[in-house]
Amino acid sequence: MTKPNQPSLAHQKNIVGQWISAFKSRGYLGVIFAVICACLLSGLGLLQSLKIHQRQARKALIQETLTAQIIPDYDQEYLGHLKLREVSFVPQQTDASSDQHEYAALSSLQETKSGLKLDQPEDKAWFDAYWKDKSEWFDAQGHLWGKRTLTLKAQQTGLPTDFQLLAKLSATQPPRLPWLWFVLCGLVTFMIAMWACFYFGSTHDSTQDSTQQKKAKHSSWSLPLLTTISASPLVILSCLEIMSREQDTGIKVAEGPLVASLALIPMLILGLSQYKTAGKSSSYRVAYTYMMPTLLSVGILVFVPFSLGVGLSFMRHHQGEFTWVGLSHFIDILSASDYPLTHPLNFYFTLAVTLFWTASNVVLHTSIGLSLALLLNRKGLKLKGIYRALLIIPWAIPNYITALIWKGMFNQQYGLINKFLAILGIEPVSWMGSFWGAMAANISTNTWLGFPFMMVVTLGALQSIPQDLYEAAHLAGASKWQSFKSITLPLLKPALLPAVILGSVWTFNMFNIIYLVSGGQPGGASDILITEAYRWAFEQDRYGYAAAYSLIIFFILLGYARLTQRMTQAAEEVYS
Amino acid sequence: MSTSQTQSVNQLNQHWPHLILLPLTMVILIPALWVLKMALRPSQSFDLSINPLPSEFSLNNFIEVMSEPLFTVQIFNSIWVSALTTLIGVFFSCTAAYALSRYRFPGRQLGLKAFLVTQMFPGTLMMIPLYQVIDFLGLLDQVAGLVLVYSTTAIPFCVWNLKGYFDTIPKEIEESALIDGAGPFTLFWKIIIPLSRPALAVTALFSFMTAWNEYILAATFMNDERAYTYPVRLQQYVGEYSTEWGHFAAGAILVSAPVMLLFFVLQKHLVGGLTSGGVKG
Amino acid sequence: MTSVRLIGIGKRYPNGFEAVQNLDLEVQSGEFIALVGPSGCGKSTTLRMIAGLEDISSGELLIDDERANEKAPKDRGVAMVFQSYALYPHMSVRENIAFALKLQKMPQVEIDQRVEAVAKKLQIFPLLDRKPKEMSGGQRQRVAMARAIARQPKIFLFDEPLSNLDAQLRAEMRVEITKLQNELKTTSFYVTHDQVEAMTLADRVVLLKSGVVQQIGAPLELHDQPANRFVATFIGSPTMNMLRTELKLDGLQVCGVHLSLSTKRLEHIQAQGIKSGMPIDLGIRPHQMTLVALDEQSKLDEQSEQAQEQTATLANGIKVSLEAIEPLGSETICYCRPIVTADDQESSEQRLVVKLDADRKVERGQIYLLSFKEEHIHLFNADEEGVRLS
Ligand SMILES: Nc1ncnc2c1ncn2[C@@H]1O[C@H](COP(=O)(O)OP(=O)(O)OP(=O)(O)O)[C@@H](O)[C@H]1O
Ligand SMILES: [Mg+2]
Repeated sequence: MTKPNQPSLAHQKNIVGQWISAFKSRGYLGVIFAVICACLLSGLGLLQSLKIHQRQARKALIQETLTAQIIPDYDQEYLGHLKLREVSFVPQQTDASSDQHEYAALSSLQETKSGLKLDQPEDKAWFDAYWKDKSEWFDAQGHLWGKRTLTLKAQQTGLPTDFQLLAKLSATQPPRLPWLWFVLCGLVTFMIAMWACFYFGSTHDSTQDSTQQKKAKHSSWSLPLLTTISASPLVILSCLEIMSREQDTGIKVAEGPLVASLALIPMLILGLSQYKTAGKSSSYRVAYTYMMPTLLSVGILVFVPFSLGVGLSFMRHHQGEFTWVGLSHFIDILSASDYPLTHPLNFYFTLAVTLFWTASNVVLHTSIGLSLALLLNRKGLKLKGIYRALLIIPWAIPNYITALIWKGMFNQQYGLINKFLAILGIEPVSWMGSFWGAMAANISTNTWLGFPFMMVVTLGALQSIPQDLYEAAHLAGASKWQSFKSITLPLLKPALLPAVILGSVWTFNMFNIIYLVSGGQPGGASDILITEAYRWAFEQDRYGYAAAYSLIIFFILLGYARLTQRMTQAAEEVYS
Repeated sequence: MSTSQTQSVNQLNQHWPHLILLPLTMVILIPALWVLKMALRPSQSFDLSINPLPSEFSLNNFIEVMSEPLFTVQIFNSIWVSALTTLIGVFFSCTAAYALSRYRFPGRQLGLKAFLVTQMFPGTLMMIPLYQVIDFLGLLDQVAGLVLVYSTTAIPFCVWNLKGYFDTIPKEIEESALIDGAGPFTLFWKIIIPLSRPALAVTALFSFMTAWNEYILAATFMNDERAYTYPVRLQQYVGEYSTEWGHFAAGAILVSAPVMLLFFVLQKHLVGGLTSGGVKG
Repeated sequence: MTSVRLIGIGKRYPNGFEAVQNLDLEVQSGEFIALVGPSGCGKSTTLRMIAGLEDISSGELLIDDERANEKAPKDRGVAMVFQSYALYPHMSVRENIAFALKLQKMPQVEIDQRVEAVAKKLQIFPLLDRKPKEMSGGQRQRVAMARAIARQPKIFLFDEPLSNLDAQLRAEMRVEITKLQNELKTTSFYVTHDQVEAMTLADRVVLLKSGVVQQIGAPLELHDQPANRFVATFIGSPTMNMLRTELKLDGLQVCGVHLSLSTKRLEHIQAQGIKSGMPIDLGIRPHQMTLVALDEQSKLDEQSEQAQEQTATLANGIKVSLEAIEPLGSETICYCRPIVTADDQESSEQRLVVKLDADRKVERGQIYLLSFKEEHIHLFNADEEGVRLS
């Protein structure tokens, strides 16, 4: 079995030979593909980095000039009672002494994360300003020239029509970090190159054999090696980038290794998985390459924010500063000592409301969806297609639109619901004035927009039930109800249960409806957990508290999912 | 006589569902009709009569909404964001779903669970950190930022849906293609993708809707009016400072129309594409 | 023309299951090999390893004397017909057949020619523009065959290609495949459950059981000289009767009746270490036995002298009661149970199947004498393996 014979010896070349021969046998396609991707992506990364660099350079320059005159150039427009002005900005060379701000309406421009924001001006009008990059250029002396546009949004009319604006620009935030782009682009490039290599290059890897132990070891080393080689320029680049930046931005040295390790982690994982599995089946590797793009993007944009959020829940936020408070948020929330049990802000009260909200919605969705699907699935029903098309409409309408419309419909004075009631001789109800009224409004809105999903799922599941089961039941003398109970329901279960579970998770976190329809009225009583958390975050600015709140929501859902897992498994056994 | 009686019984048997379906469909359609009515009235108030059928036909609201200076920019933003989200979301979830459906590798169960768990992440927990990450990447006020966020929110559901569908494609077909000389890419593009068209259509529809209908994140990440997607603007019509119901209704119709069209076109696939892969987990 | 060699091929699935063990097989170019065996014995696994759809865990596969273990399926020059046909549902018949050719970058004109030629040969020309779902099972099967043939592969692999067809179509296709094979002379591997297919189509048959080869040989070789008890019972229909017997000094004790063996046979058996008094399994095919009515026994007695001159026969015949009769028109299958003394429990539980000519009249419930010729019997070791003794 282990006798080495001629052909297998031919395969025991060195690593480089292997790769080269693999590429050769695939006609260089892989190499070209990888190179093109690499070029494109590094180009992109470089461009982005340059752009950010430029932005920083520009900022630095503005900071030096300090003052600039903004000459209004009116183009007024009324949008509702919002007033919009376009102001053009001509940077001017100022002498060092004229550090004085001369202005009519604005005192200073302050850097914020969102761009440039105007501080409280003296006349107490409230402004929101956005810089828009227009044509700008640096001249030979390094001065900024060109035209920038500043959009001012004011909530008040009657501002002076012409005013001069002197802006003090300061970059208080550290400039953005281009190295991340290097890392990201490098990662993606690397991934695509690997992908290409696996697919175009090394098909001979895809079957490994115990007689080929040596070869397996070779290839198990070749990848980590390659990983390190391809990663090292990236790491060096990032380090250089950080070191060059260090002096002027005050970023700590400790970040260097951090960044480097960040770049290395995915590669290390890949290399390790490589090493572990090389002897076994290399289909793992193929699978990982297929998973990689999704893992990367979901990792960066879902799991990183999630972890950040978890971190946030242990901190208190006050005016831009975060302080560690440990578990105190959780203790606060769960002990609910600040409010009595029936107070809308009490956690358990809100939890009860949420559970009520979820349960009633799921029951309504499922029962309405199921019965409509059963009706629509009847043989020989005319206009089936039209009914189905019309009944799907609520699903197709964006839910914030639905929510706003229904909010209008439940309005006490001009709402249509009350007009209906008036016809029936019932006094107009103040829907948002009572807890039950508000909940009724919320639930009916959500039912309206949620049942089509269940209907469609049920319809699909119904269609997949073999007709001969019913025929068999009919021959066995089963009544319609009996065959529904003993055939339809059990066979629907495997498709319906997951839909119900997912639906309940979505409903549990259904922000839009509650926030827009009842808005928590009266007095926050109709808020569910997620809207409550939102209020803590954005109306009270208690980010940490809100994060802790959200985390608790997450754990409740997780527990729920665990609980239901067994149910689904049981249901699937029926099916298989 | 008896035959005519059984016939009429049969008729009743045939037609009684209409007795339920017809009124129900009406009730369900009424809010939609009201929106249409509001859009076709010149007035901006909500005050309506109960009759859901439009009594006036003025296109003023539509014209006003569409002639706003930033309308085209914002609509274009929306289209651009949604299209890119669909493309990226579907492509990424395709490859991941394929791996999850066809390969058994360490971490597969974990991956599947992780995708499911993301559905439970509360938006409020994610928003602030997400803002930081996007800011970190320098993608605020940029279409790319929204596209990234939307596609990653859409991916988990898409992966599950597609994985379920891929599971139903017999392995032999792929093996046959492999023997016929197809490389992995040919296999993927010429066999798997065409075979899963219904599921892909549904998945694409969902990713499109994720992007097209979203406004909270868009309002958070986009500070420049020129970078708004249309829902952000639409939302402002009935915001805190103004209530222009006519404009809102017209805009709502403009926004919903494409999605509704897609729903009608993809109706058949929707029924098949959701179940065969389905939400079945 | 392609030769294939399997050297000690083995397959171990990731869950540790050994589906195929140490399979050695040398296939001449143009040979038609049938792989048979009970369900789950590893036939498909072997075929898939040859195709490159499963990794080979141990051993070596040589195609044209070149190691092919690591080659991708597409580089092995194989074409496969699956049990489920595995037609591409989204492509028309024409596209299905042309798919592989297109991937080979063959010029379109040539593709068209080839597709049409193959379609004509398999009588599916009028169906070329249909989709798979618009065809019957038999038609699909033909398309699957056409798809494999159009590629002009070095090796054909068939995985139970006919098992989804009805008996008549199957017979038809069998003839068709024989014809094609004579024409194309391509090395082929054919997995089947159906012995008739294996016997009629194959040049050689490989019989597997639980991943281990039991016998490799020409179909008649397997039938006439089964290598062990398993092969003997697996090949042939109805299956061979197996009787537990005891070796005596000059013959066997079968169900209380003495059967004398030729000295050559006896020597042969004793040479393999079986001693007098030890059990031996006796196999005899149903069609090589005959039933004699009791009243005919006298006649038989008269003839017995002559008979004994020709071959050694059962001294008296085994007394059996006829329990069931299946008249099939061309033949009659009889199920009998030996009548023995009460203490010989073991043999009284045995069921014997006898195949008689259709014109023999027998009656259910009657008692007959069962006899057969010594030259037709197969003797196997009574242990678990049941190796053939003579
Ligand atoms: N992926 C797998 N993992 C583990 N064991 C497997 C796998 N595939 C097949 N087996 C096992 O290997 C054995 C051989 O399977 P194989 O498909 O070759 O049988 P077969 O001879 O083709 O049977 P059949 O005639 O029913 O098609 C079976 O016992 C099966 O349970
Ligand atoms: Mg098989």
